[in-house]
Amino acid sequence: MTQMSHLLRHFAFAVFSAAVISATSDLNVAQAFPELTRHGYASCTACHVSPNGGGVLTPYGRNLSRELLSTWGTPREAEVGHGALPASWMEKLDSSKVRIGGDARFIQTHRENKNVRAGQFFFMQANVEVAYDEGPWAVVVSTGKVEDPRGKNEFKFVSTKYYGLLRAGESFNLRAGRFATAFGLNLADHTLSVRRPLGLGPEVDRDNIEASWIGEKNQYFLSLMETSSSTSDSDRERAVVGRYERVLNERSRIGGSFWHGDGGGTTTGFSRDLAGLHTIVNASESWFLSFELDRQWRHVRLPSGTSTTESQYGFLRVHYEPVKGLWPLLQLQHERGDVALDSSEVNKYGAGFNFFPRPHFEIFGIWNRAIRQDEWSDEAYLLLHYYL
Amino acid sequence: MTIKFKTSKNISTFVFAFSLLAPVVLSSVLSSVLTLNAAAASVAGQRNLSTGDGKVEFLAIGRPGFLKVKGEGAKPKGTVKLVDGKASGEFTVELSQFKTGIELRDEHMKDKYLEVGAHPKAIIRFSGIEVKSGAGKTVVPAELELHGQKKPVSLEAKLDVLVVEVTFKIKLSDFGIAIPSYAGVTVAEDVSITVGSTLVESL
Repeated sequence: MTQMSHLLRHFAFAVFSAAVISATSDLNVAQAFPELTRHGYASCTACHVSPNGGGVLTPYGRNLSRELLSTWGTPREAEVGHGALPASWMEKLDSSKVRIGGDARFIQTHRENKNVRAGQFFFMQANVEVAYDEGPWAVVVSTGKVEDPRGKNEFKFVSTKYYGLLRAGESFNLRAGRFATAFGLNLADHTLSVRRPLGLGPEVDRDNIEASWIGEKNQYFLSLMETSSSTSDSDRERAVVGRYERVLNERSRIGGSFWHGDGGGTTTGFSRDLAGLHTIVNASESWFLSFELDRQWRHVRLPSGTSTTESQYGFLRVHYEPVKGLWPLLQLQHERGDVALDSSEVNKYGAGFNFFPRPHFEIFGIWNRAIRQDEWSDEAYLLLHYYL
Repeated sequence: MTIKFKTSKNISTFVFAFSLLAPVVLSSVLSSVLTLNAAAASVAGQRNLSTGDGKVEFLAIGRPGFLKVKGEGAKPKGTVKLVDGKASGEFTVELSQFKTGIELRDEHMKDKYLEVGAHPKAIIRFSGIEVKSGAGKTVVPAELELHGQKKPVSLEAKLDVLVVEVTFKIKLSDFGIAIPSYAGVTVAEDVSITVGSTLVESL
């Protein structure tokens, strides 16, 4: 067993090192587990440097991955380098103000309908994230690469996350830089209906000034957001975004978000308003669910006048944890691109699992059947993830 | 729980939201009904009671992040004497029974902070709790023995003849318990404790 752990440590470190060296471009995929609310972690700041979760871990968060998430594990596996680096280095790192994180993701996709049957394996992401955490303030920078599944295969280092954070007191935080805007649930799965179809996925870099107040019962986030200058004309946007969450019964939370944006290109522009509800409910020690439902009103300015489209997106995911680290799930996703049109409605019925076999290893598999009127298509993917 | 989307836009939104809220609403209603069904019996004369089904929980807040550390699993054992409508008695709690959901945290709590090897039990002694069926909570003085030290505590108590529930707060330093801290997260000094138990007639 000890030899196996030793081998695993070196394998994990080797995989991560290879990923960082060889992958192609960065993708700002948040990696948080708000499902841990059921263990009393209603806010993100015990485990993450970021007030909104995801990204580089605090020393506490690093250890929690072994204690709370993974099925098996030895104490040193939660360290940077998965225990392959000398313990004395780790002691120095832990006692320093430097925090190191990062992600490597491999993905196998599958898509099938009556016309198409296709699959693809690609190296999705490898990035390193470094924080200098002084206590009252912190600076975080991430850089890495990703393979673009749409075929660009650009080989370049970019940074889609960097920010300065000021912690003004126990609850109040100010943050400025490039990071994911706080809206709805910050789940790592960006394929969910409440992300990409709403233009809230990781494909667009967003610069934010964010104020947050995180209390024992209530959490508030208010952001001023502008998409980066590299964003295409159609996605360029400025917005004011807010999120509120209330902690219920110590282990559940419910919240709402709004987004008011204005953007578009020089010839046509748009404005949009989003309103959303979300919750994480701890039904029992083993059962928990997450839910988000967002409604969008998008107004497109045309020479002939303004056209408004109302759309709606949501998901409900139910998890069961029969043994620590294994979360089978059932999920329902709902997309209605135009609420006035029945033909725009797509419902996706899915089943899958999260499996955390060892500290910082995640395997996520999901299969969805999407039904639009009388048409169906199956989509599935298997994600292998190691976070540093 | 019904979830249906193939309906008009407003109805589908409503059904989706209601499917989530229904269990919460039902649970609140059931909880209220159960509270109203608390036992109501005569309080005249003297009666000797002992604990039946019960539980002890504590809640501590960790910072940063206001994480909730909830200790569960311990059961109170003890006796209550009712004399002229007032209750006195003591409850003993085996501290090794507490679990917080993380094994390493449990180890630290028991070995490093509560030191259950040397101080395996906590004891609450109280007297003068007024017994009133359906009444609200009253505040009564009590004594808590914990970590080898005896200190006065103020109980918020509710005793409905056959059900007792007390809540109180303690300051860890009052009992010589070090403030728990691990990897940058520190637990607040004030800890809330709830003790609840049914009571059964004893000889």
